[in-house]
Amino acid sequence: MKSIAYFFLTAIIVCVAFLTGLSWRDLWANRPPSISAIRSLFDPKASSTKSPTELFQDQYNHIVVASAMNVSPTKLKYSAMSGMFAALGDPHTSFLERDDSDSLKLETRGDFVGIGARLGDDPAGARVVMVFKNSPAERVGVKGGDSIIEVDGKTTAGLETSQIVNRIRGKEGTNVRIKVIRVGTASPLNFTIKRATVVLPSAEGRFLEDSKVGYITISGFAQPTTQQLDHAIDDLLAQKPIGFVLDLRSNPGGLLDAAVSMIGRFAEGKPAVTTKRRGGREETLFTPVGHKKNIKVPVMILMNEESASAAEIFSGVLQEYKLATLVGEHSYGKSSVQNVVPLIDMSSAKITIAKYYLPSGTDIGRKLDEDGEYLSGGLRPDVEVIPNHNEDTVLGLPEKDAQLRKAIELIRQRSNLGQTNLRELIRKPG
Amino acid sequence: MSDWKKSVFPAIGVIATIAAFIGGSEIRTRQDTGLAVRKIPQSYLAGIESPSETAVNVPEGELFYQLLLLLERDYVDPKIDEQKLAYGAVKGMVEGLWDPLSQFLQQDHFEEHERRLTGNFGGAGMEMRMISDGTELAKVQRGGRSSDPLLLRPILQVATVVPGGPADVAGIQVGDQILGVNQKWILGYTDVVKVRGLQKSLASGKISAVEFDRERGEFQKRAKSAISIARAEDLLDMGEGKIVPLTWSRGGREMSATLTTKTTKLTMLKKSPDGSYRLRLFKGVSKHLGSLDATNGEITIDLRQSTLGDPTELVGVLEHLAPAGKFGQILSQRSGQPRTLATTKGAPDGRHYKLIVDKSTRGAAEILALALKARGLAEIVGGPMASEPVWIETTALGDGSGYTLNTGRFASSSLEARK
Repeated sequence: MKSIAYFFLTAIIVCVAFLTGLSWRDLWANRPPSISAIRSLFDPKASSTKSPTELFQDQYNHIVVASAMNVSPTKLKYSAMSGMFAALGDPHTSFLERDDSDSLKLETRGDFVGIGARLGDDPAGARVVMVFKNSPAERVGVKGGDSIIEVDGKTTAGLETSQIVNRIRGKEGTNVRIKVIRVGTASPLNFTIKRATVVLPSAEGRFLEDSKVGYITISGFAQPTTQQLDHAIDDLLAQKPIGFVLDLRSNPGGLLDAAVSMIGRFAEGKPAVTTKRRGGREETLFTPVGHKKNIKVPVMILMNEESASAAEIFSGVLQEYKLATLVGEHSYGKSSVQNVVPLIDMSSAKITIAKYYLPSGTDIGRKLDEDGEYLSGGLRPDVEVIPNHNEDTVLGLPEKDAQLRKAIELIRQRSNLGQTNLRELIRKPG
Repeated sequence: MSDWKKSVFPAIGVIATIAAFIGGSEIRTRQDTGLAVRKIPQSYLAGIESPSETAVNVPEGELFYQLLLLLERDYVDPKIDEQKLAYGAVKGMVEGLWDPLSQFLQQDHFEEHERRLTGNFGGAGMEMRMISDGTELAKVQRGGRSSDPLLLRPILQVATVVPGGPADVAGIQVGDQILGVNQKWILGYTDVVKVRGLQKSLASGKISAVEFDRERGEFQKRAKSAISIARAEDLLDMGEGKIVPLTWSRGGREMSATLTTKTTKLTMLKKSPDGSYRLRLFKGVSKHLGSLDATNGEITIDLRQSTLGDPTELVGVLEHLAPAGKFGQILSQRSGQPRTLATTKGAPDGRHYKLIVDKSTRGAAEILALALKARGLAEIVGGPMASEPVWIETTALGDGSGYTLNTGRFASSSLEARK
């Protein structure tokens, strides 16, 4: 009797194991097992529609043979995978071929050897967006707004900004020659710059004497940024500013934790950002308690379309809590977390695994219309200031930076000093 | 019960359980992939995740399936439409060919394409061809990387104008370049070439940096109000009753007009009062080619304004017009056996044709003209043809989308034509 019971028990375990094996794919993806998979076991004709893999394979087999083009099967395979990822409609989920995944590793590295300038897109090559303080580029006189048209005697025409960056970077101590054009200068300028290790300064303060405004540039969110911000705020507070301008223009983001702890300098113990993972798992990060700065003057935040991710969280939370006024252009609209999965054929898959939401529940994710043009997403500025491209702009110099000028003007309007200044102005001519 | 039995039965049980699990998962994989034989290298039995020093080749079907699993597990939105990803992969492949004559078409565009193969043209009533910088295009077609991706932005050139259609009424001609739609610019490689030219002038000191900066500002302004090729095609290729402002150029002269889109129907076979026939290679035309009347021992066929047409009709048409035999080959860039264009049935000997052509004779119609000429059956009258005797196949996908695939150019070989 006992052995019959054991036999049935074993039979049941074997059956369960079989069914588990059959639906491991569903369990792995965290969803209920597929009924149709079990049904088609008993009736193979039940699933007459082709599986997605078959569908793809059929067309691959057709194109690889029938196309008039001499395309390699490997190229065709990777084109297919890129198209597959693109079909998700998420600009941040993508398949990276071997070459692409190599450069990704380079970009995510913290410090680097270069000349110490941030570059932006420009049809002529690359435009210098910002020159870092005490960097090799600053020492030789490269300025924001310069357009790099040659690197080591080779034209930058047609290269993407990332490719130009790669050409400028190199071994520490070696020289790189660049040719730039500068607005208002008739002929191109040549610079020879010695490459050095550049540590990205992520928060730096400067007291603007003319307007008595504390100006802090936050160019990224790294581990030491919070500490740098603390120093900047403390230094500036000692000089009794009438307001603060936090410049987060072209800040691509960085560590989310750093952004949250930095918000803690303005608001304590409040929800900052909610991360929603798949399957509805939520996690809300709160700002730390006990680090709030004693700031009683207006705070303005400058942003533009290149302010993304953690920079948007930082600005958006302060905006929602009415602790800061956003000035400039709408931000990029990057509200998700990606994971890069390396694959055994040395390509890799970059996949969005979670999304951020602001305390109000807003999703700032960027949406594009069918033209691929910006539709919505990102933070809306409270006061919109679109810079004039043809104007000679130097970020951080009030007289050559329309957005910063507007922020200072707003601070003056909101503080009593604005009126005092007016009185001074009236008195002066007399 | 003896001791060995006590240990053997549980062992068999465990083995059976493991075997059942593996068997179950293997059956599921076969259900999902539908691949009869799956040769999985030992190195990725545990999936394709893991960085490696040496690249392991993963076959395309397996890679697709494994990535599908990966997305199902990791992607933030658990509702993944797997069919859509498969069609996306097909779109990726077609676009990855960098062939202006192979196009992936979304549902509405594919429907329009199928209607066009039966002679019904919506939108502005024209066929456009995309042209990119030749050198740059050749580079990516060979599988290389573009050193200047902006040069790959195509321009739109008019390839066929449907007689009586909105474009025809507005005065658009074959060869014109479409510059803008809906008050927006189409930014093509020619604009980029202009900027590159300015850069060269700057480098050689012909213009000053100030001048260059001003011109570049213009370019950026235009780029900001540009319309994508896809959106321009949406407006021009489909629909009825839409009012579309259009700007185009001919030999450097800019022209513009406002069109109202409508459907224009073209007949596939029509006899003119002068006894000549106008033939277009739409679906079903071979069934209508019963008997063509000759005047003075010669049949005149007008192949102008022919549109790309349906090459699958070609064999049927040749069976009606020419004696059985070989006409030539469809050559592709890849090595391997070219396909032969030949018929097994045919018309009686002794027919002679006069074919009227011009630069709007392309695709299937151009193949027809070249094929008849190769056999010495026809005399070709009129200007040079479009030089696009391409055999373009159409494939429909399950969701209503589809794609066209350029499978090669027709080349007549007089040696073979003699049998």
